[in-house]
Amino acid sequence: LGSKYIGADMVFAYPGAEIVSVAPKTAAGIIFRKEMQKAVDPQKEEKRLVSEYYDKFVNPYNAASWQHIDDIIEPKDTRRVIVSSLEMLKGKKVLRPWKKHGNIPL
Amino acid sequence: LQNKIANLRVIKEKLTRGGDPKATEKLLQKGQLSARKRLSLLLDPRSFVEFDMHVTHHCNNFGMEKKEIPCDAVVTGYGKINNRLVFVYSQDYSVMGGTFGEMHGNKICKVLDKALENRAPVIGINNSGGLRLQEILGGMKLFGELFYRNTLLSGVVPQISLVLGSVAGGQAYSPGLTDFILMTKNSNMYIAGPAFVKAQLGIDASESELGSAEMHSTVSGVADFVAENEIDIMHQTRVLFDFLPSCNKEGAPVFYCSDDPSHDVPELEEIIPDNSYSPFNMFDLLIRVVDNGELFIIKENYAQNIITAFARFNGQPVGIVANQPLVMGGVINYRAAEKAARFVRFCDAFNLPVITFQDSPAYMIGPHEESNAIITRGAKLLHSYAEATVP
Repeated sequence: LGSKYIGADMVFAYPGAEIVSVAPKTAAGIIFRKEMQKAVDPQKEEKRLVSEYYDKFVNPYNAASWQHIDDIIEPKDTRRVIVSSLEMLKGKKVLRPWKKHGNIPL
Repeated sequence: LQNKIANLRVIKEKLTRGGDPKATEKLLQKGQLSARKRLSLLLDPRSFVEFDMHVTHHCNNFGMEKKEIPCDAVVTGYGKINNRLVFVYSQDYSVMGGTFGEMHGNKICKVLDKALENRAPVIGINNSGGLRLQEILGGMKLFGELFYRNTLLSGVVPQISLVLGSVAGGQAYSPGLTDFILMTKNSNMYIAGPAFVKAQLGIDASESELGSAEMHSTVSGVADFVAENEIDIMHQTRVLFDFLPSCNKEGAPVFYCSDDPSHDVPELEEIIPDNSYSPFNMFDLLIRVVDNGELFIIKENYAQNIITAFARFNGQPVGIVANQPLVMGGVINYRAAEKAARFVRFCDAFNLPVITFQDSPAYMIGPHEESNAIITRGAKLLHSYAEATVP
């Protein structure tokens, strides 16, 4: 819901945030299926691969590298960045194509 | 230059072959046609023009840099249906399960952008395992972009989704944002498949329990229409398309009407019961008043106490909402209210007159309905009618 690409103007994350589409264990199970099948000790291999996946991708720095978030902030700055964002966005105007109304799923 | 032309032909031929021939053959055995075959059945002959065939993915994770994904697993472009422009995409399940990566998403978003600029409808042929996990966040950005566009286009140009084979994960939410979802009998759609559900919830659920066409057309109400097979669904989509305008500033195309517009319907004196408490089949009435008795019924097997359908009067397409006294006496419960409200709002957004045939005792009452918010969910129907400015 907080995706910039469906309309969030500013997105901030704490340093401990996990930003992924599916749980690391589930994702690793799909991406590394072949490696796990080949491994001598599949459980140990799974643990290693999940942890590698986790370290590499499940952190806000990866999301920030994609511009998915605007900044990684310290929790103490939360109030300040909200106030500052609102002030910056005061003049926000968005042009949309003309429609009577959308067709929201009911 | 002759060499270069010959080379181009080789490249194009290779890209249009799609994925592994064995995978394609296996899908065919299950009645699932190739992405390009589907488009050729949907569109007027030789009308399809392709975009972005040469697109390649940019993923360097997990050995992906060595992997070739023809067309990035989706065929996109435009074509015509009964000579009217339509923008299309068709996901290729034979290539990496039709998964949604960064460039795959970019290709689909471009289709929607062109449709908006040119005010023409979009038809998406969905068949995808969902997000391409190897790309980590690449596809995720594009899902956001796609959902944004689906919403932006909503009420501006009609958007139709076909669900063929399996459609999973984020890919299911794009159809969820469009105007109509058509499924084949053997297709499945869910936001998480059996393996995910087992891993996260510890529940055993089969693919069909989670998302069969049967379930979505009778229980969830997600599917608007169920077709017998992939050939039938393309035909039915063309029939539906002919009822719709190309955008919200146009009317739907008016066809020549072979049915005398002013003939009497004397049989109705027999069909309509004298006693207001006796039920009758509303379809007996509807097929006798619309052009040639032809109805395109939306959500036929969901909330059957209310009928929603497209039809024509003297060649002019209209939306029909009718209570069905045969089912629960035609009472309006929260499901019927939401089904009809959404239909009326679509008609209003796209200039289709709404004809209502009313024979209902009232809204459904009782603790079940009240605790399911019949007040606010029932109010959606009131709101949709009051909001509508079409005839």
